[in-house]
Amino acid sequence: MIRTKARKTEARTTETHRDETPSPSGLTASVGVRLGSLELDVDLLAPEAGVVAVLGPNGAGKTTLLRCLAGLRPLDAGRVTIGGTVVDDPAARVFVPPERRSIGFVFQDALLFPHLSALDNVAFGLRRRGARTVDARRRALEWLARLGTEYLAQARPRELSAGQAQRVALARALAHEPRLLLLDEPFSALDAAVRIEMRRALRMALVKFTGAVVLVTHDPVEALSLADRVVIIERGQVTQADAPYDVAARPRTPWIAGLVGVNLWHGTVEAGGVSIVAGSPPIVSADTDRLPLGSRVSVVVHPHAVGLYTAPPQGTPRNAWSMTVTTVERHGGRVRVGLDGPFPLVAEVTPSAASETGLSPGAQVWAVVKATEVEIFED
Amino acid sequence: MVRVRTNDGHRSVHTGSAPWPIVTLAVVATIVLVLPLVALVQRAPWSAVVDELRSPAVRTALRLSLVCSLSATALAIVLGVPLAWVLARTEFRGRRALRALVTLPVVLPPVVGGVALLMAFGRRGLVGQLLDDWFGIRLAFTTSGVVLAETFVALPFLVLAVEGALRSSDRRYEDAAATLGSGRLSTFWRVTLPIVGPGIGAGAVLAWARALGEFGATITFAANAPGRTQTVPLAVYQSLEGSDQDGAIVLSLVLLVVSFSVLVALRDRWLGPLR
Repeated sequence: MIRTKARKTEARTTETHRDETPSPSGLTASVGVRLGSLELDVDLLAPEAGVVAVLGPNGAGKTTLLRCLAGLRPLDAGRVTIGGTVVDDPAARVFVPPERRSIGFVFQDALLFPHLSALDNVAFGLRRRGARTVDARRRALEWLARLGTEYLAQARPRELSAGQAQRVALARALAHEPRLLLLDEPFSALDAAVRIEMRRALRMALVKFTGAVVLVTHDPVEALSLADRVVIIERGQVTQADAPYDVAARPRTPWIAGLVGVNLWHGTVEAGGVSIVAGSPPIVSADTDRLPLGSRVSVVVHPHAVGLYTAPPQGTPRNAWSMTVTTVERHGGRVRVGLDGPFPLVAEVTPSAASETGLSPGAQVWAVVKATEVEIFED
Repeated sequence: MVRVRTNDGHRSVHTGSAPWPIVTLAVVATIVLVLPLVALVQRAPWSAVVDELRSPAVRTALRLSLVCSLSATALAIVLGVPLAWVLARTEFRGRRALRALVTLPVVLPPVVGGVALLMAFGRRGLVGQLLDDWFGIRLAFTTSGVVLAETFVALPFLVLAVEGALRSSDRRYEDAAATLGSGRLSTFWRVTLPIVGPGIGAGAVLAWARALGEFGATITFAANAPGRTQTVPLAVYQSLEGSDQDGAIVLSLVLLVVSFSVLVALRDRWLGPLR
């Protein structure tokens, strides 16, 4: 399967934002709210031009967190600063309402104002901030163009498809150039093909965006492919906050392991597969022949797609590596096996398979992955 | 033959006739509702309609009715939309009690409303006395009194319609506006009002129809003075009293046509979309 995402620019690569020093010009948030039985207690940092993905099961408090950052819900405890300005601090009796925060918010279902054209929807934020109608419309048109939707300028929201509406909503949230962009599952209402398009559009739009971005999602691929940093929230608490690679490689809870704990590598397409480590044979994928040689790609292999054998595999499996077991961890009904060989690898097997194979640290095994189980994403 | 319709709107394959007692009563009900209107149209002095409508008394009543009912509708919109917003969008002690009080005039006999208005705004009324003493304003038995009486009766219809529209509209549009830098008042004007516009329109038409037909409260509070407080319904009443049956019928036809137009205008709301 080939999924594509728009090309990263140098300024946005993971490496640049791996550092964790809070940027005073980005977002710093310590959010405490009570939600019925749920206590939301989350610390969140997003540097300027950084993308933080917030991932978690339904009901974990993700949307509430965003609403708190936007000021649509006041904090019970904690503190939020945007671009160095305190916008919510109940202890100090500070609360800046949403209309006076420098934010853009993209809702799951676009929520374009039905009585305004796409253009006037995008111009709305500029107008409310004092721009003249002519100027607001001109800048709104530029933003629509940036998202490839200028031909929709005069359309009413009811005439737009879900994907078009979400692009216009993104333009609307960005047009007044906020310091903080909040995205609440912006793609979840879209079907798969449109979602990929939308992700590409978002990435393009963010290239020139200098504010901080918080993306709430329940799609691990979205989080891993768009974010510089992934924060996992379960039952109102942060259970892990790491770079995407680290979340994928070292998930801290069973939920994370089940959803996000995938093998993720970066590599280059070459003849016969994707090279991820110099000197070792390339990983073979069913998809690589559709990409030009030399393409930079991310490679994802789900741990449950990795088969472990004590003897060298029969037949002609395309990906088979001799590896050493480093860790064996039981997560609920599954066993995660850490392996080392030409590169680190995580496999997931049932407890009975684990005991039959005699898996324990130091054991030598063959790890086998079918070429059709190797997912490729264009970087 | 009356066929039985199944719940999902498809005609049943085994179209038995509906039970005759039910059908009989339904037919009687239809006769009760339709026969008087048929009679009204049948007895209309068609040759005299144009002359009647041209007569100064009728034209005065029509003009007064139009001015008063439109003023009352405008007043109901200006006062009723904010009240509906408060009922739909805010939470405070006594909100439910306020809502019940606001709804009361819908079920109150209009003549009681007229008496109540007299007690409040009559020359010896609670407020009327002060208005008279301080500003020389008298509402009872004046054209302004007609507008007040009609507003009293029509306002609740508008408030209920707009409150319903506000409650069923997605409040997150207002959240979206706030995140785009729009203050609450600006959001009310530029987002909330346009979105509930159809609800306000429907409420206004309903309120206008109610104001136009107002009789009990008006005649009690403003009396029946031709040219000043005699609206069309009051003129109908006076015509019948003075045995000018033709005049009464012609004015009644005018009100019937207006009512029918209101029904057509609001058909989507009451009758469902046209098939």
